[in-house]
This record gives sequence, C-alpha cells and structure tokens, in this order.
Amino acid sequence: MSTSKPKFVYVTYIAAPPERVWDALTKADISEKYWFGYRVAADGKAGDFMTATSPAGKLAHRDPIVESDPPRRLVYGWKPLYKDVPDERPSRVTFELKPFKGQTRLTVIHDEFDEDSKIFGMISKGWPAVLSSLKSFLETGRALDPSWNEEEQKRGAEADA
Amino acid sequence: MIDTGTFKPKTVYVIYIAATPEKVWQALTDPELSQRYFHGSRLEVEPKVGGSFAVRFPDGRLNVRGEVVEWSPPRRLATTWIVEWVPETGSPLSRGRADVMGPHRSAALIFSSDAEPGQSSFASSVLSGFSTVLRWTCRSSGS
Repeated sequence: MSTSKPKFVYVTYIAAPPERVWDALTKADISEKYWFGYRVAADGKAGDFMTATSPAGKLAHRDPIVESDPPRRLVYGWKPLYKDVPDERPSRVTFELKPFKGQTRLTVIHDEFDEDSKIFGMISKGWPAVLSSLKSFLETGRALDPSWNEEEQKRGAEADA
Repeated sequence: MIDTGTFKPKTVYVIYIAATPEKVWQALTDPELSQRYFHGSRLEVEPKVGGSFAVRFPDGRLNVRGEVVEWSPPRRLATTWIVEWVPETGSPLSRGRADVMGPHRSAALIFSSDAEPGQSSFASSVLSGFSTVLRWTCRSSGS
C-alpha cells in the first residue's frame, strides 16, 4: 500500500445526537447557517448527487454519493468546480457518526488524493473551520464568524511551516 | 532542553473556538479550569521557560510530566511530554505545542505534537470538551 498519498482525518465530539449531525451535514437549509453560507445538499441515496452552492449562487460541487446510511455513514466524491482550483482527479469524503450518551463522535476522512495534490492543502485548512462551526452551531445555535477565517488560516499555515 | 527550531509536528489538530485567545490561554494554564474539560485531570504549568509541566489523573497521580519550552501568553505554549505510567523506560520524549490564534472574539487553537499519529483521537476528545467548557465559562462570566 502506498503511504505517500495524503489523507486527512479529523475527529470531533459534538453534544448533539447523530440524527441532528446528519441533518446538518446533508440539508442545504441547515448547512447554509454554519458552512459559511454554502448550501450543501447530500440527502439522496447512493448514486444520487451531492451538490454545493456558494453564497453567490454558483455551483461549487456536483459529486456522486457513494454510500448513504443515515445517520451513521456518508461517503461522497469531491471535485471542486470553482474557479482557480487545480484540475485534479476527484477525491473522496467519508463521514462516520458514532453515538454515545446522546452525543456524537464525528470522524471525517478525506482521501484518494493525487500524490502531489494542491487541493489536499486547501481542505486541510477548510475542514477544521467548517467542523468547528458545525459543532458550535449544533451546541449553541450560533455558528462561528467566518470573517477572521482566511487570515487565521494563513497564520496557522505559517505557524506549522 | 529542546531546540524548538527543529520541532517537526507529526500530529496537528486545529479547532476554532468562540472565545478570546485570553480565555483559551486561561483554560490551558489554569488547573481548576482544566479539570472541567480534561475528564477530571489537571494541567499544571509553571509559568516560565524551564518551568515544570504536569498532567495529573483525577486522583492526583502523575500522568504526564515535562518542561516548559516556550511560554508566550496568550499565543504559544510548548512543553515536552513524557508519559509517566508507560512501563520500562517510559515513553519516548515527545513535544507538544499549543498555538492560539485570533485577534477578536474567536480563537483558533492549534495543537501539534511530534508524537506519531494515533493519539489524535485523544486530542480531539479533550479539545472538543475544552471548547464546550470555554463557551460555558464565557457565558457564565457574562462575556
């Protein structure tokens, strides 16, 4: 097995039941509130499409749903359609939701990247912001403010370098 | 003493928290506050470079000990990290660093370590609880 292909793994614990986390991950009316304005619809079956629309109304994703087992497991492809994104082969996103005591352990695995993927760097900064905002939104009703996001991500990248 | 210039994280965990960097720093360095998100364990940090660092189990036994390598409130805390209860020679020396970003009312906490990945679920578990407690304490202190 090749180990040079990058793989992103993120685990977060959310004080909400898996059903609420599932709805937030799959329904555009909810995602819009915490996913920095993006409408992400992924409530179809395997073979249907996940679509994401930017706050400006542009189609950002139209990717096949590979697996859908509500409220436990969701897998879809990932090929950003927005401008200036490198043309790479589609990667894959897997969400695993494990319940415990009315709360959820959410694992996001993003893999199947090209070995020298540029998109990998982008999603590595993006998921922590989206998933932190999801957690805040489900626990408090208030998403995180995205205004500081870009600058902080740059500084974070410098801190890691 | 560790040369921080050679610090090469193998595990990085980022979480964004709706609290000021000062609040995040306080939760990282105040033993009483840490007990509320660290499953009853206490973080004890001597506030200076070269000071002692310890994580104690709820019953007071030593879990992790180390030394403060960087102390720059409220932005960066780096320590060495030796797990006390690992048998034989103890765990290999690893280093952990917490970077707190964010000028406003939201902070990004970047936790990095040169330990091999696999402990990351530990980091996410603690830090998820951490952000929940911080929100709670911010609210109760009226901010």
